[in-house]
Amino acid sequence: MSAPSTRRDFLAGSLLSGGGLVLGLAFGDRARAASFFPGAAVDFVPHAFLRVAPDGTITFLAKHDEMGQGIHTGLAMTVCEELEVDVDAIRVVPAPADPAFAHSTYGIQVTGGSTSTWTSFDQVRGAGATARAMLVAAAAERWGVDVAACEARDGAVHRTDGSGSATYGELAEAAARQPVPADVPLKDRAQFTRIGKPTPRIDSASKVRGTAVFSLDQRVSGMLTAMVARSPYFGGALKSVDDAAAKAVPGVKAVVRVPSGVAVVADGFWAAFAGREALVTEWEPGEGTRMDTERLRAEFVEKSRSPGLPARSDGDPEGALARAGRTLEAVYEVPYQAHAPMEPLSCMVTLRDDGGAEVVTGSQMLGGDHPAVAGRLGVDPSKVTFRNSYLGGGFGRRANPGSDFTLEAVEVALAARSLGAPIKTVWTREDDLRGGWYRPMFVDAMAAGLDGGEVVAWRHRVVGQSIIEGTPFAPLLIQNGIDATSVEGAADMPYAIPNLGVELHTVALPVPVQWWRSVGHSNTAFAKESFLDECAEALGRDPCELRRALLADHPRLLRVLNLAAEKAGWDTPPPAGVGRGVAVHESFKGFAAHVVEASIEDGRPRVRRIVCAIDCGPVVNPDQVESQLQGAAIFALSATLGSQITFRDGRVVESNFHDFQVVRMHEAPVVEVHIVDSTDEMGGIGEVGVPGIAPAVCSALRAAGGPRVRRLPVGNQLA
Amino acid sequence: MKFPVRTPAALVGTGVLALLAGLAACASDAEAPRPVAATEGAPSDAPFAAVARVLRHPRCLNCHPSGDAPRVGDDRRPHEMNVARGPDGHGVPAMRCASCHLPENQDLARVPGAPNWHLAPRSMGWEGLDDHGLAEALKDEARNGGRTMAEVLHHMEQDPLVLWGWDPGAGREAIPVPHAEFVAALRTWIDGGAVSPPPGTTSTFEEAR
Amino acid sequence: MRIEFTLNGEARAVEVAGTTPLLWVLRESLELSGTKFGCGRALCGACTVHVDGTAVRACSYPVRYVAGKQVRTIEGLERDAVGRAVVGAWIDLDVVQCGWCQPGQCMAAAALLSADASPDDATIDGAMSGNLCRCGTYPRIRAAIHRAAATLRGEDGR
Repeated sequence: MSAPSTRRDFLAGSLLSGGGLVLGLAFGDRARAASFFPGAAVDFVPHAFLRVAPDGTITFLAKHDEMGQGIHTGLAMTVCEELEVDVDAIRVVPAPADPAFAHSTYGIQVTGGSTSTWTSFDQVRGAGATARAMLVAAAAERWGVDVAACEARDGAVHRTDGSGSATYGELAEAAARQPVPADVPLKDRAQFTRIGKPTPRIDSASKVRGTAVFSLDQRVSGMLTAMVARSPYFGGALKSVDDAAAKAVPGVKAVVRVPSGVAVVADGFWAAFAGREALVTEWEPGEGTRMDTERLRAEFVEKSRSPGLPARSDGDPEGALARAGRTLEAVYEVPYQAHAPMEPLSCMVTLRDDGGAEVVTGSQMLGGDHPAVAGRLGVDPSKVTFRNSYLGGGFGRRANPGSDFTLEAVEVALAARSLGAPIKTVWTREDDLRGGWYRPMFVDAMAAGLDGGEVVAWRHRVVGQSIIEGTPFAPLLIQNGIDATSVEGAADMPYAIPNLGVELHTVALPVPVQWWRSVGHSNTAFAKESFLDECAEALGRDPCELRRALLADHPRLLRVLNLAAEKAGWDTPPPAGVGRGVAVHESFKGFAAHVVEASIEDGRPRVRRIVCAIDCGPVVNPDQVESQLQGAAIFALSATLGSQITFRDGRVVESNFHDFQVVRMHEAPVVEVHIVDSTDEMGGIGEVGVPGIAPAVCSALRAAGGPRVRRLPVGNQLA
Repeated sequence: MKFPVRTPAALVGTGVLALLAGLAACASDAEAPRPVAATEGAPSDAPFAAVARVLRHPRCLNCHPSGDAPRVGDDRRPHEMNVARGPDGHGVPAMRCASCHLPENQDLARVPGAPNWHLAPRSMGWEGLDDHGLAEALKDEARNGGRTMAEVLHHMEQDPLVLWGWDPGAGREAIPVPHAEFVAALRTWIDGGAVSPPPGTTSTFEEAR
Repeated sequence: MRIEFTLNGEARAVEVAGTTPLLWVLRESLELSGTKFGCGRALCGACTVHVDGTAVRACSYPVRYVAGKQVRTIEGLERDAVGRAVVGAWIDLDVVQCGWCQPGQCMAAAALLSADASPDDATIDGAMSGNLCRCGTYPRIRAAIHRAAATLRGEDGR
């Protein structure tokens, strides 16, 4: 039996027709495409992505959201490769919410799953090539020559005999009258002059200088600021509120009830904050009182002792475990985890007299948020203008399956409609950390059978909440009771073990949960790779050697494993007191291996060096692949060493960066990134670097003489 | 050896000072709530114990570290963000104490503050000292900032950074005895000859709870 | 209350409650949104600005404390050689990812380099550990500080 499909495969199979529709619209309906570019009536707008103005300005609408991953630069490089113009000669603008910018595989406009580059690569190249062909055709017509006598280069069309040239701006109006060619050939990889070369980010300067506009920076005349007091208990409800003191705070304009709580609307952030501090609220805890981390741990572990729903069964795992000469068992645990993007959430809503609205936010899923807002307002989506900003970090939080922060902002605007003002609803860090939508807590119960120096049986039992249940994605991603995202990285695990079982217990709890950078892999890889190391230790085998032996049929995993081991000097002894750990894992169509060097100093973990090898297929911008892998390592290190969300008496304990501890400069190791020069299938990057960190770190700490850490974060478990 | 050896002089000193402390307590505001004094290994009313309990309270000890980094909170965890004393006790470049700590508490932000917020010099590190060691440190001009005992008393009585311990802002426990009582105990101890208690005693408020 | 101070070299006056954090005066009253909000409790450094040359956290800094003082924000960082070196190095090395924390990182780095022209890694750890980056750009921040220091010393730095 083969592993069940992952989220990606389900979506690819079910929604591909959406992708085709997008292409049809993008390349066919030019009048509609022009509507995305205000004032573009006579300009050249070949499709939804590009506009060439007569003054030479080239505007490119980026369908994927820029949240740090460098996708705007990557998409610009991709379109420029075919358009034959330099990246710094075009303007990149976030695409508005519109089906024209739907994800080529998922079918709605969304950025996530480490899919932006590989799913849009051919589409965006096609956009550039189509535009170039029309510009060349316009030039050929102007000069009365065959298109073969014309060549596009550096933002202009040149006659191949050197007798003349015209800039794209000069050709724009004539190009706009050209028919859209049906099938424009794309360049071969060998012809690339931009793709594959380290290229500066287009957003560096504005972000460094503070001129880049994020959601929280959005400002319109007369705008008010709102903050919502929400239930401190998940599933709780407001019992009473006394807003007299809040209304007396200078600058507070109104205090209104919204479904999620009580909103204080004020003339600025500080007045809204002070007003909210002055609210006296009482809450009915509801079922939220059940939430207590220690109790949940015990319940999850108890559940893990009984069989769950089968997600994979190769051979006879139970029989083989019973017959094995030696069995190992271990329970791994990961806590609830917040995304904590550095820019707290915000969303500005301006209600219009026609019943529609203008919404400006920082969202990873305009394709979900836009129709959700229109639905709440009871209007056609065309009545809702939805614009995106730069996202000050996302990590999954801003692709909310319930459109939580956009819909809440709409509720605030509706409740305070009489103020007649645009209202920006803002979140504080405390709101962010205590507001839910976490990566769920999981227990992974592992068992292995060892015989004859080999791993002959393997059982991986996952216990945790489903992030998909109750969302529109459920029909696609939950099959036979198995949420594919709960077992990804486990059910499709690559090691050649003849008897292999993966089971799932799905737990229902009132905590809102969702995807967090690397999703299910963030816990399954921790358990799988750590436990394989435990097997290696029990068998007296080298962790790299054992992996190589079990990965003979997985050339891309083998290649990154060998590259990371070689670059880290796996076969040479580490410095005194330093241990090395290794992990290798496939996720999001990317293949990553990590070797970590760590030591234990005064009972505290110190991660000194991380060596990463990545194979994501052909690379658009190697410098940003390096940057993503560095960042992924440090993001994952925070969850490995310090950050977690816990509950006591029904409430979230953590509130800000003093107790939600993420890695700071003095804890940040050297991260060396080695990219495989690969011509294999293009895959993901941003999340691929996360899953291997926790197991590699914990194995390194073990090798450094510490205990085997089976519960994240490491915290003070070494003391 | 099972029992600490006390010299006769130390025993006499302890007894005399205990008596004095008792008198001082009688003179203080009888209505003020008083935690039960408790110490380990010495009479509970030893006069320096009342001083030592305060000096060992997180509000004082957190910024009198024996190393180069302050601590924070009632649980005395290391100060987040790798804070270090720096050459002048006011932090390092770009991470000065004054980068975050103002002359007054910022209660909405939960950032404590008082004038001249900084770390006590390393010579005044109190961590790891027992009551004897604390008393010796208070008296030693090489370890008390070159102060006479009168100046030590003045520092404890007047310095805004000391007074902050009784007004530490939202989310932090104030030192749980009145400031006047602390000063009176200190004065009593000094007036009685500032005799160090014998080694081996560590007085804290926790033991009383 | 009316508060007068110098902002990026220009005299400014605002009429606000003196307890309002400097951050919101900068971002809302003065419409300079380069200084960012990240935690509101001086824990993340995204709001770092300079007051009389000292790096401070504007999110928890009542504006009345800047009366009569020199305030410098990211918008004015490139008014001197240190600031230009920092911004230049950050851009050259493509430090940014999401970018939200980076103006604060640059302000902290400039304060560091103004005090220490050749910081070693331990000094960088001391100066920069108050500035969080969730994207994990620390390796490049460290490299950019070394690069800016080299630029200021007149070296190529590459």
